[in-house]
Amino acid sequence: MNGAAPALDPTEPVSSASAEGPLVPAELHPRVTRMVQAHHDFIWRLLRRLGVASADTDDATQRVFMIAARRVADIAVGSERSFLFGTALRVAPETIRSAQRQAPLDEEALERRDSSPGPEELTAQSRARAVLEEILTAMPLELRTVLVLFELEQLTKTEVAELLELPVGTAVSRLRRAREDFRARLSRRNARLGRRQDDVSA
Amino acid sequence: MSQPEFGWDEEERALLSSAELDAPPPGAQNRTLAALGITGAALSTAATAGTAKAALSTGKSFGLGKLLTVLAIGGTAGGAALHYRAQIDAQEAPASRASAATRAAAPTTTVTPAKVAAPATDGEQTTAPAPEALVAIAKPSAPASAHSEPDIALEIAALDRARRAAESGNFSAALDELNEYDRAYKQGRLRPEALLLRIQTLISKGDSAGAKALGTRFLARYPKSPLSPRIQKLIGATN
Repeated sequence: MNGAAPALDPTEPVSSASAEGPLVPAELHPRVTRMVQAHHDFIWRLLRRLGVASADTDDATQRVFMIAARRVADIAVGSERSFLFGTALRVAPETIRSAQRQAPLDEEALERRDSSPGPEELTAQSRARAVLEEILTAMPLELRTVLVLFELEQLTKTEVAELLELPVGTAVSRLRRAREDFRARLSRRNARLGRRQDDVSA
Repeated sequence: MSQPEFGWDEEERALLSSAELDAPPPGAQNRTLAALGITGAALSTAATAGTAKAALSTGKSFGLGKLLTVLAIGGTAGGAALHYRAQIDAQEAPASRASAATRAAAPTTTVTPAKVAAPATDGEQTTAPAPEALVAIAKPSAPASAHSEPDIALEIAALDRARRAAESGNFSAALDELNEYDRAYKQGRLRPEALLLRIQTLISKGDSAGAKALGTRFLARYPKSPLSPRIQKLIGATN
């Protein structure tokens, strides 16, 4: 989707330094630092909104920047965001696929904070966020991406088109389809829940 | 670029606006930098003049701990400042577009140098660690663990997912979600509620013995917990 993004090596190490030396040569530290400062939160939100689990988003973000740091000498000045975006689009599905979902229940699970809200008191916004995630995750990646960039990241259509390396008209068309897809999925979800509610009431 | 405004309804707007909850946990940027092997010296070099340096200077004058607190609060407020897109959809005003672009391109420039000096584990440390300590305390795979407001929102969302799965009869998925919650939030504020949900799920799944064992452990350890009566009732009903 984005020509600036590199092909990923699945065996890409994630440590900060290798036996051969540091990940980022000292002379490139200022540039890489600026890149992280400028784009870290955008990439973090993007990964999260593309469906990476909250617990894995830090890891995935670090991986994106590690890949970029290794290639920083090859990234044209001013193209950092495009490169990071393309990399994130590749890292997100990998992370989702490889997410480990096994963890033992330990004694810490018994810790409690008496004043904490119960599950029944969870906020409406958090419930809405969960529904949003459910719908976004079900959407095709290309539609999900354009919806996230425009509706959630609030980029302009021109910016979206640039990031996706598409003509503006194509990006706008994709956005229209994304909105329709989002609406259709929400309608189907509501209808499904409504039927279930009717079944319970009957 | 003459597409008319898309008419999201109220429910759709609420869903999209809920993305305001998405924000990196405090220290995430620090951990990324440290994972890259970049320490304080490089950050000083990279910092732009003006507010960033002023932030560092301010940190020296009234204590880094207090500064970090301010920055943490500011970060949360910044995340919550996301305005719903449809309100500006039709205008595409240059000023608002520039603002959105600036936010997306450089969301944290003014605070990062000070944030890099922050402890990666929590906000209680009041003295700045040595630059090399940033690498030592940073974990490339460290999940969100600090008790920030974004975290509690994420905790809530995680439990909501588990609850939904349980309510739809997918008990294995619910337990998977709870396992993930336990792994991600080892000091989570909603762990007791997660435990209650786990017990309910185990009962629904037909694993009464497992539910009872878990509930019994909880009651033995926290007999006066507000959740104890409910758990007592739940595991009592399995007899």
